[in-house]
Amino acid sequence: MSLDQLEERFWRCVRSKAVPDSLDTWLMGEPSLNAARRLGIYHHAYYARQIGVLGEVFLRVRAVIGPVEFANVAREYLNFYPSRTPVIERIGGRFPAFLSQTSHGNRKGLTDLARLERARLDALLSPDSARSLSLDELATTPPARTRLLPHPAARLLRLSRRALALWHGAMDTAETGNTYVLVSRPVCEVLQREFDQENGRALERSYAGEPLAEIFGEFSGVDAIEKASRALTNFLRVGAWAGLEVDPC
Amino acid sequence: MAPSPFDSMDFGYGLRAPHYRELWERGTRAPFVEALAENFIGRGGLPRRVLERIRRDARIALHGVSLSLGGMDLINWDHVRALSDLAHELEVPWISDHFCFGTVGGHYAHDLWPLPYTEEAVAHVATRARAVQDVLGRPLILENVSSYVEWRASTMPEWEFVAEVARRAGVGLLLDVNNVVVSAKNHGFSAEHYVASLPPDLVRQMHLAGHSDHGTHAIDDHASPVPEVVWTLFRQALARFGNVPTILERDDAIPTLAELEAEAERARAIAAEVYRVPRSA
Repeated sequence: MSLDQLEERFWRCVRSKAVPDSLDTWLMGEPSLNAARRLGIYHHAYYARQIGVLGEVFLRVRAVIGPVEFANVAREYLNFYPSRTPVIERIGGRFPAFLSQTSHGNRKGLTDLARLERARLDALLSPDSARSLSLDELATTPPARTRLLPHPAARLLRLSRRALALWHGAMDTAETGNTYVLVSRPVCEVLQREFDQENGRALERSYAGEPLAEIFGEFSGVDAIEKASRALTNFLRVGAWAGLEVDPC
Repeated sequence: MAPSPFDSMDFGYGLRAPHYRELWERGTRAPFVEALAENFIGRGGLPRRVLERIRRDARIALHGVSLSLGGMDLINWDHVRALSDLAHELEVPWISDHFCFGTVGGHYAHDLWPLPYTEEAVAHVATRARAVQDVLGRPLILENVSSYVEWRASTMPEWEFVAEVARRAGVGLLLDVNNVVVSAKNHGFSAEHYVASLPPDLVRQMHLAGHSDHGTHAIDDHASPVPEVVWTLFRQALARFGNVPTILERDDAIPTLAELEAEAERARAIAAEVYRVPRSA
């Protein structure tokens, strides 16, 4: 058998519960530790390591559904989506969407909770911003031609309030409706801030590349300018943006 | 002649997340720290700041687990280039990975699977290792893995395989002393013979770690202090390979930084005994 065939066969066997009859013809073993038990060490390590990583990333999802059920779902996920990334922490990229397709998808807030936990990991694994943005800098740019650049670690999510309640450990919450949550990492610590509809939409529009003037336009009422200015200050404080671009004309 | 990056007697430990905070605050007392490359590629925040802090006091080497040089998939050149960029930014003297495969069909196993020790595998790994080293632009060294299976297809012992690949590829060896002990137990060969069979000029770095003994086999779990059997083989390795930089690895039941530093200091003390050199760095 060629190297290619041997490796492909090993991969299939490690990921399978069944031990092929022909195992002894290509792997060595002794009565005290036969080939099947030896292969089993790799089988166990493959799943235990990756389920462990998923459990660390989706810690609160794991707490909600319980460790045994989480391990079952995670194993199913790994069978469906074997890793395509060299960085093991990133293996859960499709886990929230996968979770929504399982029986747990009906559990209100759970998929959003997984999205939130995934966003927190993304914030941790992202690069730093190459530059910082200050209010002074913002004040000197023409709003109609200024676009704000998202911080590489920032993720704006629209989540069910129930997911946030689950995040805070309230298992029997009666919370309903949706809210905006910004997950960011200005420097080292991951921050998580909830915003009301007005602020959330403004931030959403900035992330969509709309000019600053349009974002200001999201705020209404007699105190619109004051609210917009407060929002900008808040967004800057939590590291929502990494810089700005001014259109030439 | 320019000094080789390997010509020093450095002892240290593998950088792990539970120690980030403390290291950021007080720096390292060990002169040599090894960082798991995949934990830092493209990543900012505390991990990156910790590396910058450590660089003030110590040398850093990058240790990878994902190159899959024995795999049949195309090399992930994006990953290699990212690794090269990180190495350049940190000015690391060398980069290490493993004699193994860990990818099949575009999928990552996140494990270090042993290869069949055949001429085909020698040629395959050597070609890829040389190509990767060229792109990295700095020395690549490869580590022997611990293993639980042996392929019937193998035509040579592991020590011959790793030495032959290293020679053909022009790369160095990272001798994991614990992995030799674990594989020797699992496959019934002599760990001493393994060490004695490696060409002295190829070994550039060593790893020390602990394992668990399950009677019929041993598991390389990095969850306990270095056992006496590994220290004993380390003495033999030092005598054969010289004062190569040595890293202590712990991945489970991770002790305090002070305990880890003390264990690395023991490695230095043993080298001092073997070589009768001063104990201070």
